[in-house]
Amino acid sequence: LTLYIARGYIKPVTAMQEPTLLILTALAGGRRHGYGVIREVGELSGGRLRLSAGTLYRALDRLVGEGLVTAAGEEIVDGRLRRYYQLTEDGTRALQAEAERMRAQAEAVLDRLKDAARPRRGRARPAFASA
Amino acid sequence: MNDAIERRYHRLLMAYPARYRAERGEEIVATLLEAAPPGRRWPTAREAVDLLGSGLVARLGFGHVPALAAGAAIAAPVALAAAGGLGAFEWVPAVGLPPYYSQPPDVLEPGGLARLVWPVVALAAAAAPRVGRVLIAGGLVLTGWVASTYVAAGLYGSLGALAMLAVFGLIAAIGWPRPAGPAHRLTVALGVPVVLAATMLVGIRLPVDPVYGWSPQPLRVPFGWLPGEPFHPLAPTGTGFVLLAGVVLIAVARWREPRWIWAAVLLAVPAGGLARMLVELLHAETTTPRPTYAELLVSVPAFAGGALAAIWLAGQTRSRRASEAKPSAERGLAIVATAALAGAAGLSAGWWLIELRILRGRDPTFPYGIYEPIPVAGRIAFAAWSVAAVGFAVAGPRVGRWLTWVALASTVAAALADDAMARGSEVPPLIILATLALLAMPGRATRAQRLGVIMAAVGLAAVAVVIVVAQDDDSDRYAQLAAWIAALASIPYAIAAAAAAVAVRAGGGRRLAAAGVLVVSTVALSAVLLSFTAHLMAVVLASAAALVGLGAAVVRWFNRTARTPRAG
Repeated sequence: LTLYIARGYIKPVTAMQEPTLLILTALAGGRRHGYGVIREVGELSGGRLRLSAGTLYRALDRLVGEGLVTAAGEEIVDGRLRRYYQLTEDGTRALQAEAERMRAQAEAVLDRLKDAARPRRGRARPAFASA
Repeated sequence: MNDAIERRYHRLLMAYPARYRAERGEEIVATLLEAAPPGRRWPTAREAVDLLGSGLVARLGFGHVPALAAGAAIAAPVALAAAGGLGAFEWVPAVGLPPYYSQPPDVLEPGGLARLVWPVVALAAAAAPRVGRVLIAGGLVLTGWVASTYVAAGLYGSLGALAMLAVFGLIAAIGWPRPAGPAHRLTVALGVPVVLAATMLVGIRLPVDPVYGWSPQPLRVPFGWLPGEPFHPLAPTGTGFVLLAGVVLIAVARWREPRWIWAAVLLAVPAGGLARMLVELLHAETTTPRPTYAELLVSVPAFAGGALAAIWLAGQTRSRRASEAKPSAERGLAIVATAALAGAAGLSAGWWLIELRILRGRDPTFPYGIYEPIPVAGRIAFAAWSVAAVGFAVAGPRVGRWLTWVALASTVAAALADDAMARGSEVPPLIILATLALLAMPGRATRAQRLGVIMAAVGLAAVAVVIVVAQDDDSDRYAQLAAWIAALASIPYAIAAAAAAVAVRAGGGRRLAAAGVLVVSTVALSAVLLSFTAHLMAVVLASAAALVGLGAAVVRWFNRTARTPRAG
């Protein structure tokens, strides 16, 4: 079902978008403030994903709205406001589910690759180019 | 030193709504400062675009609708590909053939530039997705500038195509995914030539009839591989229809997933705008001199589709948050009411300007019998809406609500007072007044936001003023103006319907009123649609049905073939 719409338009690679996933993962390590999340996401993605503040807060607003993340206290450091965030139980559960989904998917891919290495059986199927 | 950059960040944060700033501003600036390397004095371009974009998104309330952002992310690559392909199409003949344009076209001529910029932006964004949003923003700025020069010069013919490019670009700018995956990049990179090729194909297939003055001049493909093929400049209509059909398919196939529906809704707007040109096309081949208001409302199906999806979506998002349903629904209703009242005020101001023109005798005989001057009572009713909007803004909700009642009453009175209101023209003023009355319902029902009303009304009226004032007495341009205003008038129906859906969810005493609005807007929409000439309607419906049927067949086939490997 996913495939045919995906063909003409785009393929949703994961059910959860990558920044969302990484932000939740960053918060899985404990409560963090805005810049803490940015840094952590940068590390998690090997420096590939550099979140900017506007994007980060948009994502946080959305996640707070969905009840996956909640504010966890404020501090004043160097005269500046830091608000901390942490995962809620729902957030932990969602992240867990997503990780399992990704693992299942990865395993399916690896299985298929193993199959491909063996000689092919079954009927021929028309190949279609991914466009 | 550090203060300078802090001040600049604060200034950029002005893009956000005040309430949001009060709540989050300090925190965001602190994060920005922490992320900035020491000694930096200016925000980077990326930060600036990001903050302005996010602020705009927050202002538009996108953040409140969970699936909308995800939907925009889905729609963005498609929109960018469409903008790129259509821009390229518009540009190809521009280099090829002088007669269509009044001046010899030049690659560096602004209009040509505004078209060429989209394929360039699209391909560049596909190649360098990190700066995609900056590139798209650049394209929008350029297009906006060119559009403003067109308005100033009174070149409305080209404005429609530019506007659609801009809408596609806007969707791309809002939703450009970060990071953009290979699928996004591929969609854009392949989509541009596909859209271009499809549009050109349509352009060659469409019959060109040079007999009527209204009929567009045939353009000839400047390339060797299609020597001398007549080339219809309204070909983007076909692309619009194909896109619309695709959007309908998405909505049908993915009706359980709000983000797909939102993607469909977003794309339906510019696609419908393109499909609107079908009417101009059909009229080029019949003896009917010009498209009428109602026929130009062919864009209504697109808006109606959007409205239906919005109704359903409003219900979805509200019911999911049942616990907090009431306050957020109230807020949603207030926002919608603001937009609605502003729409009423802006529209009525626009009509007033047209009235003034006619009263002043610059155009005593309106060309094709579409339009009769509105009776005095009607004029008062129109004015009352502008007064109500200003009243809301200046004197607050209490006075504003009273004024809205007055406007509503004068509208009803005007409708009853003179039967000229209900006869004679293709779209009787009665329908326009009904539109305004419809807008009143949500506008009266809640506290509208004061500044929002006046800003939006002024904005709408300003657009109307620019269009009317920049007019000369060319009747073609009058027809186009009428078309745009008529298309604009279809928006309130959608707004009213969406507002009604929200209100129904909100419950309470407004439920009945909301249901009433829903019924009235549906009836009004049908009434507008029914004033189509029958054959035109049949053609539109048949081609839409054929497209959808074809699409469904393809989907079924693809679904069958695609499902087999997954079963293993």
